[in-house]
Amino acid sequence: MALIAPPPVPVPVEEIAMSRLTFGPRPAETYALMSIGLPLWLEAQLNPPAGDDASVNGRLAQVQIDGRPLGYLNAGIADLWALADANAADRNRPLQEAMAAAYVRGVYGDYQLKEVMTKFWLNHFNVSATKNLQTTATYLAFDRDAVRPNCLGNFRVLLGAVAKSTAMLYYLDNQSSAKPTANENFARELMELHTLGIASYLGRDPISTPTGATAPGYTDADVQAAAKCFTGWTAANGNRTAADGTKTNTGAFIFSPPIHDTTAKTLLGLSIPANGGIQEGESVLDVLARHPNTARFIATKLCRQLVADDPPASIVDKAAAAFMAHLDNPKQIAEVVRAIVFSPEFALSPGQKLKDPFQLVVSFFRATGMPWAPGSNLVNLVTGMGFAQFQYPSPDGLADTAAPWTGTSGMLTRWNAMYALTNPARGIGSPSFSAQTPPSKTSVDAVNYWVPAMLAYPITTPSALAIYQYAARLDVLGAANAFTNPTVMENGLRSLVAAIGAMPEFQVR
Amino acid sequence: MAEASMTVTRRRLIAGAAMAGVLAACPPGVRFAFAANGAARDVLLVVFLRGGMDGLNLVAPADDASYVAARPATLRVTDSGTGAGLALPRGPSQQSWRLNAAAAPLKDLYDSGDLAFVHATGLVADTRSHFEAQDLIEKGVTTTGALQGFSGWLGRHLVQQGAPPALGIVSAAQTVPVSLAGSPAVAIPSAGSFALSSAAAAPYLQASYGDVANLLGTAGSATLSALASFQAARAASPQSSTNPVGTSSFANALWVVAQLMNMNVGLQAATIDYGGWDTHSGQQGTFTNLATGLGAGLAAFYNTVAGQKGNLTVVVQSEFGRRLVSNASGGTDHGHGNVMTVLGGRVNGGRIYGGWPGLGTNALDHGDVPVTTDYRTVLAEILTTRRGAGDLSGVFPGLPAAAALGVVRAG
Repeated sequence: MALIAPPPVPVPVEEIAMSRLTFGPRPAETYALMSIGLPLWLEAQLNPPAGDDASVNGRLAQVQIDGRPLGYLNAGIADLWALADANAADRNRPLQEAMAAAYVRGVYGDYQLKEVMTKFWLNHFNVSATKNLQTTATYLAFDRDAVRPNCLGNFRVLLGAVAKSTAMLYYLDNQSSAKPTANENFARELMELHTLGIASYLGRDPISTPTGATAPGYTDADVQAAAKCFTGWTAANGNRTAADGTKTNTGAFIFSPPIHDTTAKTLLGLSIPANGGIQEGESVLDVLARHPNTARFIATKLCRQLVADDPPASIVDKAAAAFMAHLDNPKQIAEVVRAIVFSPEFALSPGQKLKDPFQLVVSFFRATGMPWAPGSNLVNLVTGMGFAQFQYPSPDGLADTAAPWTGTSGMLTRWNAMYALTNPARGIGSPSFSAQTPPSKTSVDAVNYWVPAMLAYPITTPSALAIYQYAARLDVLGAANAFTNPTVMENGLRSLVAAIGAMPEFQVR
Repeated sequence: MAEASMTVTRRRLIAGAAMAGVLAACPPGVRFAFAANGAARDVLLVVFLRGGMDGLNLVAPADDASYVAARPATLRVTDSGTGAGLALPRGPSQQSWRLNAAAAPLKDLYDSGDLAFVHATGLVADTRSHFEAQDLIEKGVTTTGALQGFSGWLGRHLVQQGAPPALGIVSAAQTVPVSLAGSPAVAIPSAGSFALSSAAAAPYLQASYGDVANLLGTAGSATLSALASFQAARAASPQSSTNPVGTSSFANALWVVAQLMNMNVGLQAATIDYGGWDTHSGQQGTFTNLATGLGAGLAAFYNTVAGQKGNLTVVVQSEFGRRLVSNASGGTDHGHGNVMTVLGGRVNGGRIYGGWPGLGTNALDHGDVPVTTDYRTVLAEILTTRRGAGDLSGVFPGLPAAAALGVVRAG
């Protein structure tokens, strides 16, 4: 495993779980996990209720963007679709609300694993909401209806919901794919990025076929045949004729027979007879979702997300086996996660994962308990760190390994972000750390409170030495009036909390 | 504990401050001398058009019958009517070679002899996957077996030429691309904001990250060092806050490179990513916008650093071209061979290089423009002629010996 910044001493598996299966320690969450133990805590996390929990709903009701409460979170697809219009004043509003809700759920949600997994799948099935008016208007429904309810469910169900979501249809162009020259965008990324993985392309990893034979990976011909199967998978946009002959304009998924390529196709060794209609695409999804190469690809990505950038083959094997053993289980993905978390490799991986900018910021809100406001200031800050939330243009999604986030710009922006979040003038955080800090007389007291309050893992010696020294600076908390003048104290504590957020120990999970 | 910590921290702090001091004290002239040591070496700027730029919509034989039959006029370079392409004399075949009018500023550079195209070039591998093709091209290899853990071609070349100055290798983006992997490249997405927002943080971060032997420790130290170098160079050579190149993100990246060239930091190589070229649908509008940005950006950048053009080579490439026949979505799917652009004061421009087999069915590779020139042949010539590279077997392993096309000249 790559050494990102491991803690100096062994840590209990509960601390790893708190870092990986949640968006970082929060005092109440840590207490709950430590009290009931990992198995019971995980059981509850793997079985979240539908919709948002009471804590999230309470917070969402308080949020305002541009002076208005969030009004589109429960809007139906037709109402969202009506905003896919360059003249609609609220055309960006559903996306802004989806972004804000992701932060609120990440910080306050009781079912943290659901948030972690929703983020994982939204990135796996990346859609750039700003590709066009239609993706902007319907991204919220993609998150809410396709991904979120299935994030711990069955992969085939998730895959089908994604393939039929309006946002994906407009992101990877399948909505306009028609006979006789099908658009290959969706079919290619379906195989390369959503299911089989690039390692199965053009004769590398052999792949088994439905007849039991093995083929040397999938080819461009398979991509083109699959693209033909998906012609007619489109959205009711007023121009497409549905199977019942109607032309509606609701934005909902429809199968449109007039543009479907009715010829017979062969792909991945599977013969698809002519005139199969919508069932052709369903058959392609069936084959892909049940494929052992898909199991391996998904298992690898999940282990990379939850264990290490370069996860040991032994834990990937276990996760892939769980995927194949539960193909028809409605909680298939939960079973894969369970297999990963209870593997010995998981317990040996503290500090092997770097927080991406979203995880860094959300974990900072959780660790500090600081009041904060979602909105464009927050979105712009995190975008400036390279994390284009819901807007990453390329279908491969944002990196889930450390290297791309640790270049000079990546490091600089994560350090500066900590100071921006604690500076009320930036319009994101509204800290009052003086009120949170137990009565203190020296900078050492303040460090001794805030370091353990914020860090998931034990601090290393260099960072401990550095933070005491930093806190003792005259311009932080070392001045004679640092604990008697309320303004000096608050400003000093803001610098201190920002500095803890900037240290190596806070960058890892 | 606090007692002991102060002592050690102070020592680290002093070490950190001393290092920053040395860098700050280093006058620009010293660094210029370092760079001047390799005066024959051009600044090499590599622009990567992410997504698969449709070369047949940028530079094409407008009167080719197969071409005309394969696409609607909106996805073609045309030879007449509104928006007709601009004539490019000295094409690779006796046809009406033209440049998409949206990229008109490139026509002037072509005519003045500073810009050349190489057509039917690309990756000698079958892949039509964006990510695999980009990975192979940036690593300078042709088979996926060589991909695991391999560094980038440009990074290997730069390392081979010895330790570069602190800001000698720059990615004008938030991340460092694969092509620079393995080199001490610095990512500077914007010159104006490449600074710590809290001055007090610098010595603290130096102490916290400085001596730690893991990924974060190394990354943190490299970042603090780059920040100190950059601030010193910028203080010694203040740059205009107005970007003369333009306002797009591509223009902003070009402006970062121009400023570094003007600041005399000893820039050796820089990379820019320009994305959005994956035009599976609605290609006409998207491609026109992107090509406009490409032409205007390159020309304005070139004008901004005109005084240094004799020591500058710009290469523009993409992971693959797009299929000859368009699809039913008003777009084009992934293809193969493509056009590369080479710009600089020592470019033998005003010509389209590369073997052109035509666009007839038998000439195509699975329906796509074939690759008649390995893209590495073009890069190898530039490294040899303009950057003083010797043996390139470590940079482009397995590249078959091929005569240089003569795209660039010495001097």
